[in-house]
This record gives sequence, C-alpha cells and structure tokens, in this order.
Amino acid sequence: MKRKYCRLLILFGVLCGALLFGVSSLNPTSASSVVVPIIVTGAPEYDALAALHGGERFPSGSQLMSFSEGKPSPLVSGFAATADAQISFDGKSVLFASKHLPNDPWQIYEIQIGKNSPRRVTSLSDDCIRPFYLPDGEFVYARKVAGRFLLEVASLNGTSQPSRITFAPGNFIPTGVLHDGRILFESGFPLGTNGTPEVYTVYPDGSGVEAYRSDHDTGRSQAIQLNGGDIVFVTPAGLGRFTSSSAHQLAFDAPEGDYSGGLAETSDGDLVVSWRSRAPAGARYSLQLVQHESRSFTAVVADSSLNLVEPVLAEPSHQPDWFPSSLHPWNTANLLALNSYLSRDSAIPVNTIASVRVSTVDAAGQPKVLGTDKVQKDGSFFVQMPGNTPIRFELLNASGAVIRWERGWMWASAGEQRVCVGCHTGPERAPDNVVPEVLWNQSGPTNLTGNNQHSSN
Amino acid sequence: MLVQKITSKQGTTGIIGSAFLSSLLVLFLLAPHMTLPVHAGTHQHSNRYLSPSEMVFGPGGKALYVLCEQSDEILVLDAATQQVENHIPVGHIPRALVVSPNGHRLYVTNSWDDTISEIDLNTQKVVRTISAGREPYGMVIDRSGKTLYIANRIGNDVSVVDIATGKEKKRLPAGHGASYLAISHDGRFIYCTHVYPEIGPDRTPSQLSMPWIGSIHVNYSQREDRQPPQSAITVIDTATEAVVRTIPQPSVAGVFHVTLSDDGRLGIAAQMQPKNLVPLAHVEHGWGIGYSLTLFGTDVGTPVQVPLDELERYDSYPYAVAITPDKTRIFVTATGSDSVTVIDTKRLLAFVHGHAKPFINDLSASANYVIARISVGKNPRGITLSPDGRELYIANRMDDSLSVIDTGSNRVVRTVKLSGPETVTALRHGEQLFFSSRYAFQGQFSCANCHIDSTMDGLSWDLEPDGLGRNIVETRLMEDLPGTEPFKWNGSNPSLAVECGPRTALYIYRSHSFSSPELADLVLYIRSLPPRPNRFRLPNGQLTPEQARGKEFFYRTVNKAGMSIPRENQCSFCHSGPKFTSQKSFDVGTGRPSDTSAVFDTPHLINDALVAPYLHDGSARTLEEIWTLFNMDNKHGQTTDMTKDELHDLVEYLKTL
Repeated sequence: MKRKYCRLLILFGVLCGALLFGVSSLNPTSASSVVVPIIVTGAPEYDALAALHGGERFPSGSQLMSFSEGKPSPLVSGFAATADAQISFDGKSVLFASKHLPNDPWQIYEIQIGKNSPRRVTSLSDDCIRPFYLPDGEFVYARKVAGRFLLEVASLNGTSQPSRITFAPGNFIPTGVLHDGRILFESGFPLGTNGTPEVYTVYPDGSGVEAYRSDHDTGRSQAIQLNGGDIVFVTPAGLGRFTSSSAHQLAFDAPEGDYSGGLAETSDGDLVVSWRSRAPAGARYSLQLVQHESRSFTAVVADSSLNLVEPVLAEPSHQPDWFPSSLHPWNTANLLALNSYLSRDSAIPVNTIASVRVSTVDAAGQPKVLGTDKVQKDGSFFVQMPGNTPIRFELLNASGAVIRWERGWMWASAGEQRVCVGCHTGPERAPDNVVPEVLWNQSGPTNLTGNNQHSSN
Repeated sequence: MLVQKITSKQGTTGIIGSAFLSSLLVLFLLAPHMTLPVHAGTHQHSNRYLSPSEMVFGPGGKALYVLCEQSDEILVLDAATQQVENHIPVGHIPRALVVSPNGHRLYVTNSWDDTISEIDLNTQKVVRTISAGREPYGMVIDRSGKTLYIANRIGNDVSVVDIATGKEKKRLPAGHGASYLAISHDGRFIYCTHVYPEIGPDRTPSQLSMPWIGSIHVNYSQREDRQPPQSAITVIDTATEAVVRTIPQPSVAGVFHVTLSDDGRLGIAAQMQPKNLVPLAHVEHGWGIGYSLTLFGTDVGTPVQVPLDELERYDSYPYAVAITPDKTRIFVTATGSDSVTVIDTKRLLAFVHGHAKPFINDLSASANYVIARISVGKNPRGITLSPDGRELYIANRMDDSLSVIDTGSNRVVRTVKLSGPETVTALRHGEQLFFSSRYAFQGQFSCANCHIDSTMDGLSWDLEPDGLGRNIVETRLMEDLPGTEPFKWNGSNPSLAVECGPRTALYIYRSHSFSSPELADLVLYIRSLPPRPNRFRLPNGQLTPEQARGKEFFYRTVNKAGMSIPRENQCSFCHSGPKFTSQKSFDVGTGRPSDTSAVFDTPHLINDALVAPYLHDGSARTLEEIWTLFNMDNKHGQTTDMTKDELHDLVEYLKTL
C-alpha cells in the first residue's frame, strides 16, 4: 500500500516539476511529453528484424538518448554509434552497444547513469549487440561470427572467457531475461533456420533450449516479460501476449500499427512502445504510452527525422532468479525421451515407431547421420550425442521410413542431461509418472556421438 | 518512476488542478482496496509463535475459534470485531477442531498427546480429556453429536469414539498417514484422506529364504518395480460405523483436506502428484510435482483429477478446500505459494464433462476454471467460510495472522494480526523458508513438499546427478538429526548446510535457492526438529517381554548355534550410539543393479516405526521385510537363524527406539 501512495506522490511531483521547469521534446508533435527517465535509441533508419538475418538494424547509425522530464540529452558522447541500452537491476548502470568509429564493430560498454565515463566490456573483432544483465555479475549478448549472430554469456568484469550458449544454424538475438532466470531470445522458426521470427528460451548455460510456446504463428519478436509475468511481443498484426495459464498466444489490444521498435513497461504496468503508423510508408517510430487497463494510447515523444526505438526505463527492476548450472564435465550430452508417441502436432499410431535417427550438421553445412537407436514400446529412448552441436531427430518405422521429423535443429549443452515428455509436446504437457521402459532395459544411453570413445554415463 | 504525458494545450492552472484532483481521485479509488492490518485484541503478545492452522465458527457465527499449533491453544475471536477474547490452553500440537451440533462443546485433537480436549463453550474451559489413537489429526462429529471420528496419522486408522463415555468403540482401517476427515451434509458418510501413499511393491526379491518357509526362488519381472504411488479416500458409513468403499486416487501421494458441497453432490480433495518415477533432470513443465484436486460425487460421476497448475506457476501445495453454500465457487489454499486459488464451479464441471480425460498433465487446463489466485499471508493452511458465505477466512500459519477475503470480489479485505512475538527469530525464519515454495524454479515446491509437516513423503526419487534411472533413493524422516551426520544415502553430504544448500539448489530446486543467511536459518530450524513421542514404549520406560527379548537379539554377539557373530554383522555395531547410528557407511547387501555403490549411510533408528517404507530405496514395505526379503546372506545382521516370532520380537524392540 505504501508503495502505491509513494507512486502517487511521485506522480504529483513529476507533474509539478514539469510545470516549474517546462517541457520539451525533439521536434514536438501535437502533444509534448515528459518521460521520466527513459533511454531510447534514435536512428534515421531502422530495420527491426535485420539481425535475424545477420544484418544491420541501424544502417545509417544511431545514438542513445536519455529523456528526463521531457528533455533529451545524449546518454554518452564520443562514439560514432550507440544503441541497445539495458539498465542494471539496481537502476544505476547501463549496458549498451556502440561503435567507437564508424567502421569499428559493435562492442559492449557499460556506463554509470549520470556519468560520462563508459567502460568497455567486450574487446572482440566481431559485432556484439543487444546486451542484457544476468544475475551474479554476468550478461548475455549476441555476437556476430561468420556472418550470423549467436548468443554468448560473459562476466561483466572480464574474469572469465565468454561462453557460447547457442549451437544451431541461424541467428539468435536476446530480447530479455525472464524472472525465472531463463534468457528470452528470438530466432527463426523452425529453430536453426531463417524462418518466421519466434520466441525461445534457454538457460544461461545453454541448456534447455525450447520455443516459449508451441503454437507457432506468423511471427513474434521483441518479446519482454512484464512485471506480472506475462510475455508481450510484436507480431505482424501488432502486439501479442503469452500468459502463464495459456498454451496459446492471446490478443493484446492496442491501436493498429507497427510496434517493431520494441517496448518497455513502467513500474505501474503501463507500456512504453515504439510505434509507427502503417501509412504513410516510411513513417518514423515514435514513443507512445499504452495505459495498462484502458489500453488508451498517448503520444510521449516523437521526432520527424529519427526513429525512436528500443525504449528502456532508467529505474531499478526485479532481479531475475539466478540459475545454478548443473552441467556435467562431459563433451557429450544425454537425451531421454519418455514417450515419443506424444506430440501436439498429431498422435502417432501405437506400435509404429521402431527407431530414432539422430543427425547433425557437417562442416559443409550438410546433414550428417550420427546413428539410430531402438525406440521402446512405450515410446521411450535414451541416447548420448555430441554436446554443443546441432541435432535433429527423426522417428522411423520398422522399414526405416521416416514417420515424423524435426524440421529445424536443436542442441544440448555439453554435459546436459535433457529430458523430454515426447516429441514437440509443448510446454503445457507435464510428464506421466512412470518409469520409461528404456531405463529398465538400458543401464545408460546409447552412444550416438559418432565417436565410440565418448562416455558420459 | 513514472511516465506521464502532459497535453500542451492545457493551461498552467488546469494542469495543476488536474494533477491535484487526479491524485485525490486515485487515492479515493484505492481506498476500498486497502488491506490495512487489524490487530486482534489488546492482550499482550505471547512469547510463543502461534502458527494458526485451522478455524471453525461457533453457533450463529458469533465466535471464531482459531487452532494454534505451536502455542497449544485455541483463540476465541469475536467474529464481528476480530478481537481475541480468550485463549484456551489445550494439549500438545493441536491439529483439528469441531463444534458439537448443539453448539455447547468444542473438541480438539492433540496430536502429540494422543488425546482429545473437550471444551465447554460456555465456560471456555477444557472439561475432559479423551484418549485417542496414535497421533490424532483430523476429526469430525456425527450429526447426532454422539460420536467422534478421528483420523490417526501414525495409526493409519480412524478412531470411532463414543462421546458420552469417552471410550473408543472401534478403529477403522484408513490409508497410510490418515489425517483429514469430512462429513457429508446429510451426515450419512465420512470421507478420510491420507498424506503418505500406500506402500506398494517397489522391488521384488530374487529369493525368499527363511527357516520357516524354506527357500523359494521368485522370478518376478523387474516391471513390477516402482509403480506410481497410490492413494484413496476411505468412505465410512456413519449408520454402521464401517468402511463401505474407497475412492481410488491413482498416481497421487500427499492428500490433504477433503470437503463436500452442501447439496452432497460434489466432493473435493486437495493433493499432490509427485513425478518421482521420472528422472528429476529439470523441474520446468511440472516435472517435479503436480498439484491437483480429486473430484467425486454425482456432479462428476466417475472420480476425476483436475490440475491446478499453470505453465510457469504452481499451486504448491493445495491444502484446504472450501465450497460456497451456493456451490458457485471453490477456494483452495496453496500453502507454499502463499495464495488462495478461486475456481468457478460451473466452468470446472463444464470442463470435466466436455474434455477427453485424462487432462491431469495439461498445465493449460486450469485456465478453463481457475478465475483468480489471491495472495495472502505466509503458509496459508485452513480456511473457513462465514456462515453467510460472504467472507472466507484463511489461517496464515507462518504469519500468525488471518486473511479475510470477500468472496464476491475475490479481494483480501482484512488481515487480522493475532498475538505472538512481533519479531521473527532466526529459527522462525528458518521455518518460514522450509514451507515456502518461492525458492525453487518457478516456485514449484518447498522443502515441505517432500518432508510433509517436516517428516517425509513415503516416496523414492530418481535424482539426476548420478545418472538417469540410477541410485533411486527414499526420502528420509527429518527429526532429531543432530548427531546423525553425514546426510544423503551415500553419506556424501557432511552437513545439513551442504545437503540443503548447494545440493538442493543444483539438483532439486534448480534455482537460486537460499542465500547464506537464509541457509543458516533453515539449517537451524531443521536441526531443531525434535523426535515425536515414541508410542511404542511403556509409560514407565520399561520394555514388554517381547520388546525385552527383541533387545537381546539386537545386542547379541553369538548366534543360536553358539557361534560368534562377526562384529560388523551385529545390529548394534552399525546402529550404535545414542541415535543408533555409527554415522558410517556399510554394504549390507541391499544394493541393486542401478546403484552405483552398495555402500550406504547407516540411518538412525529413532522412531523407525513411522518411516515405512525402508531401506535406501524404499523397497522394504515393513521392518520385517528388511530381513525376510532382503537379507539372504546375513549381511544386514545375523537374522536367518531367527524364527518368525523372534524376528517379531526384534521388530517390536526396534519400534521403541
């Protein structure tokens, strides 16, 4: 209750402050606005999904701007380009991506709010973008290697080597960190392809990668988790929402338009969205406030020459749970499927699955079969496979014909013991409480690493 | 901080006026939802925490009686003012209370005294203490007011007590850990749940060998091993005072309160569905424990289980259930989630009848009938509706408070602070941590889910670090632990700080778990847990003749042929010291092929009668089976020369420890 009253007092103070000190914006639209305090990336050109194809989101450069009481100011100076601000959980620091010189690669920097002495965090020859703070002094970011973005986790103080956590073809861009400690990222669907943008999660040690939901739609990006736990994201039609209770995407009522510039949530539950009208073509992204109950839409700040995108609020936020990695010291990984007959796509007739074939990608980018293993009558199988490697599963009948196949690629971290209810059952399916037959019949996993010397169990 | 827009067309006066009025308006709108605490009475605070856990309204709804587990008392609250008007001392660790139909008497079970306190509600004094079974828990009174039915947790039965004489007429068999009872509105039937699963076959022996039956080779298939836990609701006919049927609860372990609608057509029991048979390699997607209800009665036909969880949020663990008099709403306390779940009955029944079963493992199912999850105090336990059904009272056990929910708006309208210490000691904080689910990944479970009421769950689990399907281990009792280190069945954890700290974070909670100060408080609490009173010892401390004979076997050094028993094969060698553990590990021949090592930590034997099943993997259903089925080669003590009666004597002695 006290917190609510404090907010009201702050609101009152903000309003009075605005009166006393005046309000301004860049080239003001019909409604001048005060945003306290907010950091936004301003860019003449903006291609929200370019990174999902290994491209440049800000081909004409960009600059981070801080708005306090409606007045814009550069967040930092001395850089050819800056973008991707993220606020530390205590609200005191900002991680961001920047280019020192126009032809330099994007690198990650950190700055204390209110100071102009940024600290370089990464020193790599590749582009490093979209940093997000993790608990326990680490951060996750996308690093462009050989033309595509993968995810890495590194310590903020540089005491450990960056650790790669994505291992499939395609591009991977982080968009947030969930309250439960998992990293929210966007990539193509099926995973490992350049298909429709989709929302995925992975633990900070690279284990447990999966689609956030399995009701794949026409495209989802820029996903963030709200304070209440819901996930809000951008869709081709506008905004969409996932709740904890539903396995399916829900509507998020908001005015029509393009929300691809990203969004942020205020501590009162309103949304600050980077939005532009679909007409006329080429309109700039401006910041709008979406009131959380009425969903009313209010212009906050706009500029006729810049897209204002990727808004973040410079205030403390709830620190996500720290995830303790329990990876084993192996190069390989194990996967136990409880019942491969279970799938949300459609049921597979009983007694039709005879074996499972596991493939990877060779150096030339071509699928390479690692081996096959028997599937038990109850649909269970238990295999050992290479860790940190693209993996694909195919279910075969007794004749060796493919019954069901994975259209994309997944991976298991080295040392991970992955357990699945079935094949593409969706996160809404909890396991049955039975001992899978394969654990009666095998004392360990079948070696499908492609190397008989591997042993992990 | 806030984001706020000001329209430039407004004048200064208008802006100031708007802001001020807006602030006032918001304050006004918020006022009805304020949940300022109400202090219950002006009496001085007790120096003992109360731990309120159950409540019942008195005649006419004028008084609310609140049972306090840790202060051993009943608080009498004026229902209108929520002021505490009296404290009535009762026996040790009370668990349940009922008011007689005529409103003159209140009966309270005292679980550690094995008694019932009878209270005259006019004088508010205990007027009689009635003997009960072993660890009396839940209780109901029949509609005539002549008979009490009491669930005995250790006794695994229900006592039928004639109130007039105070004598137990009979005991009816009930489930393992019989604990909670409900009576139908017409008074014809009583329903009893049990908190531990029935002990079924887990591991079948390859050979039976005892002197009185000779040697029998048994070739059971491994597939008979490790079946899902089974529970059941026992139904008692009050006319015949006999068990008439059971309602099966397949794959369920840990069943708590049961209740029935006023029209008698819908019964509901709150329960857990452990996933103890699949490797606990992660806990997302309900991989650890599911939470659900069993629905039974004519409204549903065949009994059915419905999940309460969501994809990323869990109802850990459902404890008490209330159905509004008009049956439109169902309320369930989630003890570890510190919340109350609200279910729309019509939508629930429509879902049950409109969807193909089973849907118990569908984490999206609850969206069809759960309409609210209301945050309340710490560790909400018992709930009761006001007589008019307009308010729901929740006992927040770890907060010493009551939450009051308006059943129309599903909002907490009052929080009633009861007496008790104002400060939270480290010990109390440790207890709060033990029962809180917020430290596990997505809040899926707490320590208390597997250590029910700080005991055990009667299950064996497949934890991941040793390999999938390997090293299956039983949950151990959590009482009287100091001096029994190391922990874990393989003896690899030297202290509770290791057991409850890094190991729990990495392989069970799969989340940040406890900070160092929190862990210290948690360990303090666990180490403080005393052993329950031993029900098998004579009051004078002496042994019965059979117990005395059993003691001779426990300490014997020669077998019946006069040959010396190797020291390491004498019971008292491994089970030595004040708690009957040498704190060392041994191979006693109980390893199974899936075990990495056959060497296991020696468990202490304090209150070992209560902790069935036995052995490291829970494969012996009784103490007798430890030797009749799993000690063919005398590695677990010299027992093959003993007769059946002699083994019985040994077991009777072990029960006294």
